[in-house]
Amino acid sequence: MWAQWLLTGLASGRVTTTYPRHRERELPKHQLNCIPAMNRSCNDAECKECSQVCPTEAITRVQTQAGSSVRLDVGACIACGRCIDQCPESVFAWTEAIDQAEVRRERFISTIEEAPTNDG
Amino acid sequence: MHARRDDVQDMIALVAQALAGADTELLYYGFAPGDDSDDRGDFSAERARELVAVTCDRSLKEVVWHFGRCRAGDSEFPSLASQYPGALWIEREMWERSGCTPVGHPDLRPIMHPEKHHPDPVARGAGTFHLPLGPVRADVTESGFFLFDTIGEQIMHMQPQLFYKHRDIEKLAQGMSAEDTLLLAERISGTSTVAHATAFCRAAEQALGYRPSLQTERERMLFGEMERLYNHVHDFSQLASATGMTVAQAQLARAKEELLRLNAEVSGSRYLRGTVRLGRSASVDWEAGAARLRAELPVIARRVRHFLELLLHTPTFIDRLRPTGIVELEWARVYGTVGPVARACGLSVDTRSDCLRHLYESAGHACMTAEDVFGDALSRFRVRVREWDVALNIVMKLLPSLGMSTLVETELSLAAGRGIGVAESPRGRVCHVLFCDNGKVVEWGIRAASAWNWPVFGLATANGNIQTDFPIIDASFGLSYAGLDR
Repeated sequence: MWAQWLLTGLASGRVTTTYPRHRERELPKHQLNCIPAMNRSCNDAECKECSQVCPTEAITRVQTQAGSSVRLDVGACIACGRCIDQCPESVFAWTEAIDQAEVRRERFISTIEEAPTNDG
Repeated sequence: MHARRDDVQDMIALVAQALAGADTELLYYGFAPGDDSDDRGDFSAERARELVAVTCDRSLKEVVWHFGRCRAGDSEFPSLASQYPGALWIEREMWERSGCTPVGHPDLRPIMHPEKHHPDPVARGAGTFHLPLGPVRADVTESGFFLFDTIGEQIMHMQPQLFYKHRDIEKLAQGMSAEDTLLLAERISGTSTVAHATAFCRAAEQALGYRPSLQTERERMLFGEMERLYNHVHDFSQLASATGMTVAQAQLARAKEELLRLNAEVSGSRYLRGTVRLGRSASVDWEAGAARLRAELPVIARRVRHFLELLLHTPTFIDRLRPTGIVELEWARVYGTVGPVARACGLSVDTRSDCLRHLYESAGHACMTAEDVFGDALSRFRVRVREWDVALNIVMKLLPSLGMSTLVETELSLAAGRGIGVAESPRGRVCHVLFCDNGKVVEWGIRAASAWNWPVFGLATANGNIQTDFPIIDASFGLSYAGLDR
């Protein structure tokens, strides 16, 4: 009897992944909209789409040396995806990551600044 | 659909009379913002408020809003629970939230604050034992407390104490836009994400007089059935676990994991978050999604059916389920039970063949009641087994009709209005009631399926069972704690 179950189990194959080992190989296999990131800068101070639609104020506009840019706080994000849907310039996109652990809270906050131009 | 406004005494009498008939069900019962146009959003006992009960006559397909006028400063209202036991827990909550007393309530005790109140044991005498179980228990499970009165192994009485997961979600939404409230609705109970989101969207769209496209409704149906598939497999796995059938437990849990991954492949979310939108379709690539579903679902289905077949032919499994946790037909009726629990007693209660018949008829849905109307754990198991096949068929039948029309974006600005929305979650009928004004939510009422079934759980547990039957009864009900607690 147990032999039958052993064979059934072996024939089933495995569903559990090797994660977190081989993380870079495993994560891209699954479509998991979990953690967004900015893939480029946004200097359009007039556009407030992202900061307005974000329900948790994870996205804010800040003044930097280069001008105005967007600040994303992944620690406050609930993965609703509105920023990705609404941004007319596709600044935001889902990363492949489902995990992010930091020792300090501020490490969850990112800003992409455009390099200041010579005639700026 | 129509509304009527009476004095609260007349309203309660009318509703009780309607519910005494076999065909009328109570969709929602609670407080509504008063009729005063100034003073919205202020939920204090001092202002005039109304009672609201929304009933649905299944044979006439008629939804009626009953409003009962209370006078300002009134601190009492006549109890509906004295005539309709389904309102027992609802009125206890209403009493605790508002301070208004339901006069004539047969069992008025606090329900909402387990940190302050514990249930009292009922049975006393030589040989009786009071076993407190929870709120933290073995297994990955939600927090809930159960007080058993036992004599030897025999359970004489069992009282659940819930509301450990109370987040006051309905209050959080007051003053929010509908789009933001939808985010809250998705998070009421994770395993009923689609059902709650769908019911909420339907309520909000009705409040605006907006009819979503057939494409949108079909998508909602499809996602609802995908939700049902993984939930039922989870329930099968839990039942196998409770009876010590470890091979079935592992294989069915594996199938559930594959279904969750399939959800993510199609929608980007394992629990189908972000799939139900207000007034528009999901942003899903249906060509790819449908191909995935067509390819993978039959493979998963073969495995699930194989192990269900094995379980149904395992005498040691069947013996533990029959007769265990019997829900008497009379209880199922008067407590307004819903979902597989009700259908296992022979009641054909299914939103998809009642209020939502016009949508589901052509999708191949049929209401599955138990062939053997025992009302026990085995009946509930068998109902879910048959529903699993029906859900799979509905998914396959809907796939060809999706992705045909282009995405229609509509700006839904909530002006003023009220609406009710229903959906059939894996546990039964979910109902949302929404009152809006000036573009914001004024009052939001949530009635999860499990909220109707929880009061019967204690009765079924004490109905001639022994202590070791409890995990089986728990798994066979498969109730959501977060849905009741919200």
